[in-house]
Amino acid sequence: MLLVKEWKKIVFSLMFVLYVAVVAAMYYTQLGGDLLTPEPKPTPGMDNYGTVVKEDAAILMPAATEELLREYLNGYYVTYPFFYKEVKPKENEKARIAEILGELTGLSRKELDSFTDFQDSRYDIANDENGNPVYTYREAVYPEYEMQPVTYEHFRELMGEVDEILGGNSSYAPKTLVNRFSRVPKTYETALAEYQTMMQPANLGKAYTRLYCDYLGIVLAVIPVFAAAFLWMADRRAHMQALVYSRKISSVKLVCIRYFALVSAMMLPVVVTFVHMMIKVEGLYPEQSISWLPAVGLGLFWLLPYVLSVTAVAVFLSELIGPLFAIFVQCIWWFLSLEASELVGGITRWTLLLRHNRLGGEDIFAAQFANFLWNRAFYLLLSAACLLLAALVFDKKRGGAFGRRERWSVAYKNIFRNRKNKSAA
Amino acid sequence: MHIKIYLEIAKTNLRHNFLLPFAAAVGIVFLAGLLYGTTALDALETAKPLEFFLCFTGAALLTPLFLPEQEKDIRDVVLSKKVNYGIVCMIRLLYNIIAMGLLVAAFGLKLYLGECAVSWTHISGAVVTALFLGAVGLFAAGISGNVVIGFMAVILFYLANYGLKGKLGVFYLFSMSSGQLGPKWWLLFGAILLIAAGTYRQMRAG
Amino acid sequence: MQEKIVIENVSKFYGRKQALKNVNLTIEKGMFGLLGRNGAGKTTLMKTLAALHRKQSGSIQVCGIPIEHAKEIRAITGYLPQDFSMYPSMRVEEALDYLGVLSEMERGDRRQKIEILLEKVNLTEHRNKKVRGLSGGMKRRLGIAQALLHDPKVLIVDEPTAGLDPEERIRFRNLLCEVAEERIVLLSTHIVGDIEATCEDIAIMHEGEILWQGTVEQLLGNADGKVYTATVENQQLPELKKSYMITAMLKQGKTTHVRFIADGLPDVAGASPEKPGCEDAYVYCLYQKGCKVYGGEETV
Repeated sequence: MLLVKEWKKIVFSLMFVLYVAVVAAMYYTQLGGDLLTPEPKPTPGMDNYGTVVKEDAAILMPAATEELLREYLNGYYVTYPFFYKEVKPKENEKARIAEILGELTGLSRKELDSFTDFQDSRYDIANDENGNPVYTYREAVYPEYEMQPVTYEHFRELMGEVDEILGGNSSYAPKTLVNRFSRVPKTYETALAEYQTMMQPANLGKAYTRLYCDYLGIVLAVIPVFAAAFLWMADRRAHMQALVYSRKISSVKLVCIRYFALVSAMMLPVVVTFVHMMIKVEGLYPEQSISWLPAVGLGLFWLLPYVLSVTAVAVFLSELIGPLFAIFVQCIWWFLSLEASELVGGITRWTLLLRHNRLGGEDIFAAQFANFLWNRAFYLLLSAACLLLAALVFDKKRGGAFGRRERWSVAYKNIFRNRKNKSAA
Repeated sequence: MHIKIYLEIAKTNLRHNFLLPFAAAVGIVFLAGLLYGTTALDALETAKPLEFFLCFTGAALLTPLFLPEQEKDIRDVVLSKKVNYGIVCMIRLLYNIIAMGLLVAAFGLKLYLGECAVSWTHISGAVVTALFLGAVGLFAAGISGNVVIGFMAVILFYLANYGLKGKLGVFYLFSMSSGQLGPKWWLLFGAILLIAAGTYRQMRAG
Repeated sequence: MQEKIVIENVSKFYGRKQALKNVNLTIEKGMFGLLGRNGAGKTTLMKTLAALHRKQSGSIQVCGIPIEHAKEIRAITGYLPQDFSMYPSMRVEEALDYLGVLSEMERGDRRQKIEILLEKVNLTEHRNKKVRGLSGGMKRRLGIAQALLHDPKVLIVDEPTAGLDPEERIRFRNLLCEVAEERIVLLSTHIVGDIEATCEDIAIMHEGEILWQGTVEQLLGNADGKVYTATVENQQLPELKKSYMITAMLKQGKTTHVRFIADGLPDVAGASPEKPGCEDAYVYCLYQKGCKVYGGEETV
């Protein structure tokens, strides 16, 4: 019954209305367009069917080599451990990369380092005739070279070595090499095959679900922290803490009930917009049968961990330090994962945000499905851990700990007093 | 006499209401240094850390401007005093904007020393961007009477800049990064308006 | 300068709800009590007098200054809100000093006044305590100190004794009486005892209106001969409650000793007239004006 009461308190708050508005706005602005027309069936003779990742040594090797040359001449390498990071190798590492480049291009280290004309493609600031600042673009200038004959296996080994030197997660890592450097134009046949895969009853709903989760995930990975911090602190604002603390209910039970009230309330607009989307999709493809179950399962497993983990972290940090601190941490975390995640095909085991910014792309998603499962399971576990910690902190506070700063200083002084006593003895 | 009073007000406020937001803003600047490259960036790349990330210093410093008086009972006491509460807000605003300018300039100096193509247009643009984002939060916090909602508005507006881009027109935050260089008069004007409206609302909220 | 507050035909709406209805009141130097239930409009009236709320119609003059001149008004009024609260991270002395700055007081003046007031409200030994560490009573005393800091001509205190223990309440009332010797003190409360102990002039508010204004003696005189006590069987109680206003009762086994108000001679066996207390007189006044009054266990 307490659950219903807490639930009412949440649902009728201004904060919740705002939350619903945000979810609805995200859904409407981002998916509205995709739901207007059905995905067109590819027809023969179109100019462009998009690109597809295909492991082709003849394309991959020159592209990766040029990128390595560019980064070498720039003097720094970009990696993505959790976010964008520039790596500047040490002298011996630099020498080894130069050796590898030599093996691939035939350019010696001396030739590389003495090429002073190097210019990355760049934008400069100049003034136009009115004196207003404008950007001007300059083309890149590379030394001339010819690709040396190396086998693809050996090439991959070399790239792996470069990646290790750079500390991993560079463009040359085995897992990203193909994705990054080996894109070929899609043929009509592949485009058609992809379309037909997408149109299968089990896949069509899932295709739209992925796009839905991609967009909604962006807000669900951050907005719950505001709602949770705000509503969790309602007691403190209303000077209700002492009253709540003194009740019979166990801390774990109270914290869990409030947590589930929050989470279930926050899932509400998600469920509503999701159902709305599925009904729209059914209307778009009247001749197709669409199975809902795989779509609903995928959507829940994708989105629920966002709400669960963000809320749990928010509740824990709000309880331990304060709501503004929780908001600060979550916003930074959200920003980092937003920057780190690739739009399509970048699902990793750890990043909070999972992106799949494309309708279809069943094969790309399938290739990363193991990572997807791992990632969501990890965030489910994290939620449980944070919830438990929150209950623990709540219980301690109830018992009078963490009350005032004075308590900390008293505890601190006592530690020193004990030490002094010991050293005296 | 008045100057002395204002200095006293600034002193107490600096001691009690400045350090945490400032620490957060410093943290943001340090993080920007970690997240983004700061060497040999061209003019377009230089705009990116300045617009995409340093704008959060504005949110950290300006959005919690009314936080000390968020509790209605405290606000009533302060409002009943002779010195106009709006003046207290303006004093806070002033030192926060100075702090924000210094932080952005410090980051600009790091870019400059890293031989990036940083210019005064970049720095002033970055300060105005941060000011506007902070003003959005300040306005929302003033209207709602709650700073959490202020921060939420900041994130939402930032997200809108990600998702809607051109639809925001002159209020698009990341114009320098998308190739439009030049003074951001509209953002500056908008920020002043939002700050004025938010402060007015805060002063009226009985 | 005339030392009085003159309120004429003041009305105020919150949306559609009328919080003040045509209020007319003149408040002279000394202690003035505003009595009424929670939600009667007392706080609204006080905030309006402290220039925190704007009235929609009518006129108010505080010591000859129209209420619209907010800055001048704030210079001569001290205000203690119902739930006084201060920046929790500040120390007592620091909080007072800051509020003194906001009243545009000179440093030397502030120092001197803070010293005197801390002594007066018994907070000298807690001057270095953080506000968040103060008890309810100490916080309230800090509240009165800040309201008096700039030596205001008018002191407005909203429900100052709510939540204080009996001892603190008495001390607080005495303090208010003391400061009322030199200024207008306007005190609102829903606790009749406070008014009885401190005020000479009072007004009773009900649903945004001034129901009655006069001296405590007049209020008591009004209820003279209307208050009775009797001892009745317990089963008679419901019947009694229907017919009369019960202001107090004490159960004694099967019988109950009741104190009640009756306009004429009561039809209760063994009823004897009593001298009215302030509480009785207040309830009688409400009853007389046709307000719904709750009897029995629920005291007003």
